[in-house]
Amino acid sequence: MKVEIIELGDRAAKFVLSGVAPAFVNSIRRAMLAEVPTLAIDYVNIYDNTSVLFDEQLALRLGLIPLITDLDSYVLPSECSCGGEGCSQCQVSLTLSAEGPKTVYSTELVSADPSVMPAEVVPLIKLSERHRISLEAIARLGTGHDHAKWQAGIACGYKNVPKITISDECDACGMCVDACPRGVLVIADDVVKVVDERACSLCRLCEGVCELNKIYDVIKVGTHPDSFIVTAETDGSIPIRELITRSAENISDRAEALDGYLSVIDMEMEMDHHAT
Amino acid sequence: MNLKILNKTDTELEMEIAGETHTILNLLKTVLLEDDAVEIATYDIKHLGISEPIMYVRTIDKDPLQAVRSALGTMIAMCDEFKSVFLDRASV
Amino acid sequence: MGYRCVRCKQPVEIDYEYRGIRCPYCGHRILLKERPVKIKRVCAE
Repeated sequence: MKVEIIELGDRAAKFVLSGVAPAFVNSIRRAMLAEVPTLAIDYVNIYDNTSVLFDEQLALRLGLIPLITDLDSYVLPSECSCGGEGCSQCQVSLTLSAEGPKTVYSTELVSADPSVMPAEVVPLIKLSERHRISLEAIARLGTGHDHAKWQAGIACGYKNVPKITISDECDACGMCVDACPRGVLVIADDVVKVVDERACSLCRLCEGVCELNKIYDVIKVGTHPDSFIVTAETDGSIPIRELITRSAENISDRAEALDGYLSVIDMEMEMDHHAT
Repeated sequence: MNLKILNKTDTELEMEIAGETHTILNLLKTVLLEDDAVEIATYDIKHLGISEPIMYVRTIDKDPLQAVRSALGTMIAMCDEFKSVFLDRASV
Repeated sequence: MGYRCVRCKQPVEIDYEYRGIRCPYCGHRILLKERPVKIKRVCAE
């Protein structure tokens, strides 16, 4: 297994992962999107709302705000010692009260835990004269599997690393260079050269326009079957490094849990075998 | 997660893995099929969202339970390797 | 259930014996339902 980092920021990453099965990359992608938990507002206690939005619409908008999450200090309500009733281990309360005329932004939420706050400045509602909102929002951990508001990973995907081969029969007519929408090919010294192979989208337009391709295999767009360009992005709730490592941890935790169940069954069967 | 063994013989294993999805099972299936002793490894989620996945494993001369457990071990090792390799590269 | 008259802004109790809806103070027929003074819990989804 080999990793080569192309880009790595706070929120977005792009890397080449090689020497793995497609199933593994897909598991990582699925885990990033749906299994890594993050905080999001789950329900809202509305004290007053004289704005133009219905309570439900306002609550939905609050739910979709990404919240900066420290995953070590919170647990999922289903795994919490309080049994999901709600305690400081599994939920945070954020309050918001505002009076018009003004536009209310997500940053005006006041959190009971200073480490939990909106990751982005999101306009929530525009209040006019005498409009008032006053509410308490309860944020909980959850997974993207249950609702998109708990999705920590956004725009996570992968593609095979492209492999473009140009044979000696090429007459450097330049048709493929003009056809390529990504500018992967150039003509230099009367030969077609590949400049940015990884930018190729595997659209194979170059194969189609090449006249000589009808006789020989002059230009061929293929892939490296066990190498992948992985792109991942977070909504800002957790850093991208954490998202990637936690997705791997999530898969191994689930595998370990399944192995635990199987080991119990294994032992029971062994005991039955000895008994008979 | 909740596991229910539906059928178990010396070479066959059929189990219902409630609460799991393609995330784990597709990888488990792929890893199982790399084992030469495994003849068939497959899973099915009958109806999206309402039914639980059922996994079926058939082996030649090997306890299917052991085959699944070693495949899970390989999966855990893969994840650990990915994590350490990624962190190693990311810290450069 | 509390209502408020749109014209004279008086709080109005509805008289169900009467066969219509009308403000007893000014006779206006448009009343608005007031938001109850209680905490409303809404699921954010």
